Order: sequence, then C-alpha cells, then structure tokens
Amino acid sequence: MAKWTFPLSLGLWLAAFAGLKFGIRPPIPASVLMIYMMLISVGILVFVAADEKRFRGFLAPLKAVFEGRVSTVVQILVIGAIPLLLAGGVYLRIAPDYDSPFEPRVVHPEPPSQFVFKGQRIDQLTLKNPLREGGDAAKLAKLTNEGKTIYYQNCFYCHGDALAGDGHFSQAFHPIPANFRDVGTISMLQESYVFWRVSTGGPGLPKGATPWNSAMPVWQNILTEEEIWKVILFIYTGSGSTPRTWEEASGGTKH
Amino acid sequence: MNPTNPFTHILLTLSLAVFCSGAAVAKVSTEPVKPTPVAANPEAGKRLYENNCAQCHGADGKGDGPAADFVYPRPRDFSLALFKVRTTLSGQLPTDHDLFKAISKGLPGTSMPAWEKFLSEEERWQLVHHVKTLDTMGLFKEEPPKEQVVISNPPKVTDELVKHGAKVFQDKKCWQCHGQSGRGDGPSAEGMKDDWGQPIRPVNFTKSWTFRGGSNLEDIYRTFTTGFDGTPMPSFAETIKEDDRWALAAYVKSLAREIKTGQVVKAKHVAGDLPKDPYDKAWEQAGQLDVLLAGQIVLEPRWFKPAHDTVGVRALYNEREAAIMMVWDDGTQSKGDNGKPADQVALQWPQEKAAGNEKPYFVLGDRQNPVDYWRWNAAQGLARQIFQGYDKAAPHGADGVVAEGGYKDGQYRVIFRRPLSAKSDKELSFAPGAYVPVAFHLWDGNQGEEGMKMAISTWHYLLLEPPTPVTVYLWPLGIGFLALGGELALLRRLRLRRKSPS
Amino acid sequence: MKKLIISAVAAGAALLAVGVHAYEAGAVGDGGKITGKVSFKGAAPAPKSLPITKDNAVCGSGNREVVEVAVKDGGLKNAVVYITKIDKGKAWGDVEKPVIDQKGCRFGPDMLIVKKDADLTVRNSDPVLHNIHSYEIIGSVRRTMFNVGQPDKGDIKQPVKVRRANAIKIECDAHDFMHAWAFAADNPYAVSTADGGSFTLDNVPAGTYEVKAWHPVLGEKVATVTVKGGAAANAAFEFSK
Repeated sequence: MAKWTFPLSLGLWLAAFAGLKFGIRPPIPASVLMIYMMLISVGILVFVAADEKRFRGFLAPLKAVFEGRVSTVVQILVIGAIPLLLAGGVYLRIAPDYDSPFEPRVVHPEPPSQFVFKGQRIDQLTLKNPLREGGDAAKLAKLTNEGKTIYYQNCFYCHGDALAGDGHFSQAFHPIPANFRDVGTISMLQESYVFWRVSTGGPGLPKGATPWNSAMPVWQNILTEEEIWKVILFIYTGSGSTPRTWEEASGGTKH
Repeated sequence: MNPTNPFTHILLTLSLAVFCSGAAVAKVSTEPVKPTPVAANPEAGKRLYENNCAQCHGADGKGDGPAADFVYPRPRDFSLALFKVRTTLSGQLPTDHDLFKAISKGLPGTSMPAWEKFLSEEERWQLVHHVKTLDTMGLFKEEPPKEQVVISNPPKVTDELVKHGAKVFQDKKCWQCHGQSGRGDGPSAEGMKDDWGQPIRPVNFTKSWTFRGGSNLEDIYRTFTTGFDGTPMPSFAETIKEDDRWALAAYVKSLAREIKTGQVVKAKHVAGDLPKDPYDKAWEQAGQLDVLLAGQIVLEPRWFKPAHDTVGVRALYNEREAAIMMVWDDGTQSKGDNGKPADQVALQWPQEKAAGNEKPYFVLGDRQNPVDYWRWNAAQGLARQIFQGYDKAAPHGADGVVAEGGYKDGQYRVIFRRPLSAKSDKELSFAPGAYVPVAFHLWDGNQGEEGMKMAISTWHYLLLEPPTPVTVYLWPLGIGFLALGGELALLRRLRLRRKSPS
Repeated sequence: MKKLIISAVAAGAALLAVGVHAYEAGAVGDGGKITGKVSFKGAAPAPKSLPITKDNAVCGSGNREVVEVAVKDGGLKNAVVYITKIDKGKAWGDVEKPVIDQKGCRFGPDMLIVKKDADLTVRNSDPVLHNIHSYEIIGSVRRTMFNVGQPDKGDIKQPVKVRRANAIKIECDAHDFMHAWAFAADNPYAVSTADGGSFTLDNVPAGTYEVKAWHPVLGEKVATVTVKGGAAANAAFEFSK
C-alpha cells in the first residue's frame, strides 16, 4: 500500500485542483483557489507524514530518482521539471494579469425600513402581498397567470425563459441578472423584499450594492403596484420556490 | 399483414407513390429517418408546452405569445409546419430528431434557449410530439418525413479546401446577400422578408455565435443543402455539387471568428504617433475585445430588439494620448439621408475622478455623477456632451477629443482619441496601470435606432497596459536556478552516501 | 363485423383522399369545347413599378412594371379558367411537363398552369444568380413550397407539391421585382386567358360542369356550363375592382 502513497497523493492533489478550478460555476477567484490549494497541500502532507511507513513510501519514488535507481531519461525529466514548475508558478504569481479590479458587492443588502413607492412612503416591515389575501386558489392561479404574461413582456430578456437569470440580454450585464431558481435568491427572501427590489430597481440599492452597475429598471415607473405583485406571484410559482415569511422564520407554518 | 384487406393495399400504394415521387426529384443522397425513441404522452406534452413555450410561441403555436412582439427574430409559428433547421429537403417537414435538436440546443443568436438545461430528455421529446400537433395543416400526419439528407464523411479542412470554397462563394454568388466580406452586406441584403412578411437579415458569417443551426462544419453544410424554409435562404442541394458544398462550408467556417468577451479593454503601448488609419497593423497588435450589448430596456422608451449584439473595442496609447477604436459590422450603412437615422456609436466616461469604485449610473449618469459622452454620428461626426441622467444634457467643447471613422466591407471602424491628461485636476485623466470606467452605446439607423432606442453595455474598464517590469522575469529565473542548484547538491550528496558504504 | 365496417370506412376515407388525384386520362370520342371571355369592368389598378437595383447588364435598368391586373379592351389576361371536377377526359399534354424560365430577370410565363404534383422544370437562362421561391397561397397565408438557389444557367426539377390550395406565387429572393403565378390543376381542363381575356377549353366530354375563373388578385367566379358533343358552349365571367 505504501508503494502507492506518492501517486495517490499527487492524484488527489490534481483532482482537488481540477474540481475547484473547473467544477465550480461561476469560477472562484484565483486568490481563493490559492488558499484552498494551500490547505489541501498541507492536509495531504500532514496525512502522509503522520505515519512513518507511509511517509517513507511517499518519499521512495523521489529517492529512487535522486539516487539514480531509475533510467537517466526519467531522472533528467524529473530533475528538470521541478525548477521549471517552480519558476512557472512564480511567474504566474507575479506577472500582472490586468483582469478587472476586485469590486466587492453586497448581493442582498439590508432593506430600508421605509421606501418611496409612487410618491407614497411604504413600510417595508409590515408590507404583505395583497393578492395572497383570501386564500382563494383559483383566483391566485389566475393572478399568477397574469403575472406570467407581465413577466414575459418585461422581465424575461434578462431573467430568462426558465427564470434562471440567463435571458438573451443577461450576459451583457454585470452583475448578471438574478437566477430565481437558485435557492440563494428569492426563496430566501420575503415578498416585501422582492417588492422593494422590483419597485426601486438598481438605483434604489444602497451604495454597498453598486447601484450604478445594476441594470434592474425602476419598475414603479413602468408597472402598476398590482402588476408588480402579480409578477412576484409568478416568479415564485414559475421557479418552484416559496417566499420566506415571518411565520416560517419563527418556526410556525403558514402554507 | 392481410393482403386482401383493401385498406392495407391502398396504404401501401400510397406510401409507394409518395416514396417514388420523392425519389424521382432528389439527386441528393438520403437515408431513412431515425426512429423516435419516446412515444407521445399528449397530456404531458400539452402541459410542458403551456408552461415553457406558450409565452413566445402562443397557446395555439401561431408564434403570437405575449413575448412575441418583443424579440427578434420572431418566435416560430408552428401552424404552418415550416421549419428552418432541417435535415430534410426544401419544402419537406423536419424529422423528429431535427425538432428535438432545436429544442435541446436552442437557436443561437435568437431568444430560443437551450432547453436541455432545464428539461429532461423525456420532456423534450414530449414537446416534439406536441409541437407536431400544432400544425393546422395536418401535414405531420399526412406526410411524415421518411428520408433525410446524408451528412457524413466531412472532408479534412485544408487551406486548399478553404481556397476552393472561396471560389465557390464567388462563382455561386453567395456574396449577393451575404456580402464579399461575409458580413451580410451584399447588394440584395436590404429589405428581405420571411414567409410571414417580417423583415429578416442575412446572417453575418463572421459571427459564429449567431449561426441559427449551429456553427460546426456539418451544420453549415446542412444549411446549404436543405435551405432555411420560411426564409429567403434557399437550398443548393441540386445546384452546387456535394464536394463544393463542403468546400463552401469550410470557407464560411474560416470566416467565422469566435467571440472574445471580457470586462477590461487593454490598451497597448506604441512608440511614436498613434495610427490614424483604422487598418494600420498596430491595431492588429492591440487585440479586440467583444463587448456584449443589450437593448436599452431600462428607461422609456424601452428598446427590445437591438440590431447589434456586440461591439468590438481596441485601444492603443503613447506618452501623450490614447486612442480607442470601435469596430462593428453593419450590413446596411445609413448616413441619415434615406429617411432613416444615421448610424452612431458613443463612449461614456465618468466626468470626474471617483472615490473608490463609485460610478455614475450606467445609462447616461445621474444628477450627482455626470458622464462625459462622446458620440460619433455617420453624418455629423463627433459631438461631446455632459449627461447628468438621460434627461439632462449639456454640450461640451471637443477639447482635444477627436473622432474619425469610416465604413468599408460591411464594417464600421471609428477611432476616438484624447490626451492622457485632463484639463483640470478634478476631471478624469488616463494613466498607465489605472482602470478607467467606460461604457458603450451603438445605433443602427437602418433599423430605426436613434435616441434611447439603442444597444447598451454596462460599465467596462479601459486599462493602459504598463510595460512589464524586468523583475517579473528575473524572479522566476532566480528561483528556478536556485531549485536546480539545490537538486544537484542533493543528488551529489545521495550519490556520495551510496558510494561510501560500499 | 365491426372490424369490417371500420375497414370499409377507412378505405372510403382513403379513396376520398386519393380522389383528388384520380383523374383518368384517355381518348375523348365526341368532345365539345368551352369558349368565352373573362372580362373586367371599370378602371384597372395601375401596375406596380419596382426599381431594378442590381444585375443591370442582364435585368435592364430603370423600373420594372409588374402588371397585376392586365386588361385590354375590357378583357382580363392571365385569369385561369378551369373545370372544377371531372373524372375522365383528355390527356394531360404540356401541363404534365411544365417549364418556368428565368430570362432577362423575368419569369416566363407569368401565369403557369401545372399538373398537381408534377415536376416543374426551373430554368435559369441568365448568367446571374436566381433564387426561385415558390409559395402555396392558402387563404391569406403564404407557405413556402420550395426555395432553391440557381447560381448558374441550367435546369433543375422541383415538385409542385401543393397541400391545400391550387394557387402558387413565384418570386425570386435575389430580385424582388420578379413575380409570377402558377395554378396547380387537378385535371387538364385548365387554361390561362390570352391577351384580351379569351379562352378555350377543348376536347371536353359531353356533360354539365362547374367552371371557375380564378385571378390571383381579383378572386374567383363560378359558372355552370353544359357541353354537347362536337359543339362549342359559351361561358362568360366578369370581374370588377
């Protein structure tokens, strides 16, 4: 078993690297990847060094190379490759890449307690979707369906046919439009929050959330209050998610 | 099978007749259509269609869903059973596999997404079955496709093949619509309509990402062979030989470039004067960034069908000034004298130096954060303005900003130049190594674009790339040699140790 | 028994479907003819004038007049007069081997009668790219029948495969000023009217027929005509704006 320690460690390291580099979308920043890989390297080394037999097995192939117990070709290849890899690594580390500067952005900023909707102050904390009142399923389905039409006439260019944030304009925008199918978006937000985001759009964001970059229109200038609530009904239904509510947050159930 | 059954007999005769009439005409080699792997479940198909397709294609498949008016090209009308991307000959119905492919992979350059991301294979087959029921003529029942064009053994793409393809492109007059440069700027390109009377433009062969039927060699060959039913693109199955069609596909593929997107326009340093000729070699060295554009859908009047999907940006600088070249393809030049607006391009910069990463609003700034706006118009040239929001503009002197450009071979190239330093300390200046925010706007006058009806980008950056310091090369060299030295020392020690006990 | 009925019904339906094609050509013993004139009342609309924008060496220069309603002495040219239903009669003749020529960037003829499902010879006599694009006209809908590019001189064959209608529009996607029409006939008793509106359907077996006159822009008129052996029966149709 000890015989395989070196190739196994190397394989594990490469697999971890490939997984982190190519397996995650969107790609993680290079600096974060570097930290993960350092941790993984240390972890593998600690595991290998913890047992003396294992450690010797790990060193054995290297020793074989340096003691000349392999063919000259392999020896030259390994001895040549190590400085080259190191030099290449250093170059990549210090060469300027001129990718876009790092701009931190708050994805779900704290909502204001109050905001202005069509000239009226709205209390975000007590705001509820009026269309859900009454609990009439048939009426709700009809309203949701009307929301669908509004969605496909106003939103789907960016947020996509399947509500996955990948509409035909989506790639032109930075940040890219929200993916409603992602559990990290509307399903962890209350409808009142979504209403605030839709109504006030990009310019309504606080500074930490880069309001100047968001292509989200100020929908209160384009849609009526009821239309916005209908769209909100649809994006939850269409993406198969449910809004977060205070009742759920405090352990009760509402639906 | 019971031979005395008159029904079977008639069916047999009928199918024979259909087969013979098909065979008599087609000189192209065909093969039997592959079987459909999934049986129809009408209820599931209908439900999936209503949930995923009706918004564009309409509840009855007439291509008239609520979103239909807001996308170019318009969604397919299924009621006539006419389909663009097929492996069957002109005028014939597509195979189930053709439909399955279109649903799965989507149609590049349109709003039809690749549904394989969201729907299972089974679900996509159900949609194929349902789409066929929307054919009001009942043709899918009456004459289901039996034979499809054989697309196999593509030749190896060589320089000779491409060269031969270029000759075929000339001889067979493909340039009449698609233009000599392949940018869709041929003499017949203007005013084309599809079967539904909607305007349609010939494809730009240089933009591989907009080829509706896909951009690999077999896809391009298939389009030449079967044509795009419902559009002016004809079939050349009988009028261009198979070998020549492959060569043509290879040539078209050679014109198609890949898109190169990113957030930073990197300006390369040049010694001496910046080139004024847009075709100067120095511009090749600059490299092109394709900036993705979207319709201006943020402010009224919103514009859902932008004519341009990208704009190319290249940049160069020297000690005194920076030059940015905007490159974009336009099949129909408009100088504003044909009753339509002139073509335009604009660059937008923050007017003032910003604290941190704060920027003006990405469309024409806001009251607190003005933008410096350079607009080049094909008829009037440069106009420099300061915008504080789309509804508040003030003229500004050119103050050293120059814009020159022209149109050639279906492509605009417009060069903007400005001095690196600003007139005052407060204003934005350019310095090597500093990221300068910039956004782009583009108009196609021939498509009626003017004012807020335009294609827009979000903020990008212009970076004057500083020359690489020598230390960037010295460090790796030093470390490499150090490691090699260490290795050699280790080698020596181990050798000595092995020798000494023996 | 039930099975038998189902097969019989199915067979009947199938026969109906083939019935459209079931014209039997043969010798006509003592045929008569239908002759007459298609007239147009009132002032004919002015022809469309389309600029000739390309290939001027071949297509000519200036504007091309596209005459949609051709009237001379009150007679309407290029209307199609046909017997709607006849099972048996004269041989198909030329309509079985139809040819449309593209010469000088003009379709010839500009009203073509073809046998339904026959192969149409599409001829390019010009040294320029022509792109014949044919549409079946089903009510207000245009549906592509075939669309073929012809970069060189020469002939190709394309099936006249109409699905629901008889009317066919022919255009050239390379030259938007080229226009022609065709009529897909179920039987050989179909003829386009000559200059001045006159027509003759000959070798018609004796009998009573429904005869229609169709014009691509003006629509359709119907008449009932009784033909006697060896005699000429008259039919007259009148269109107006």
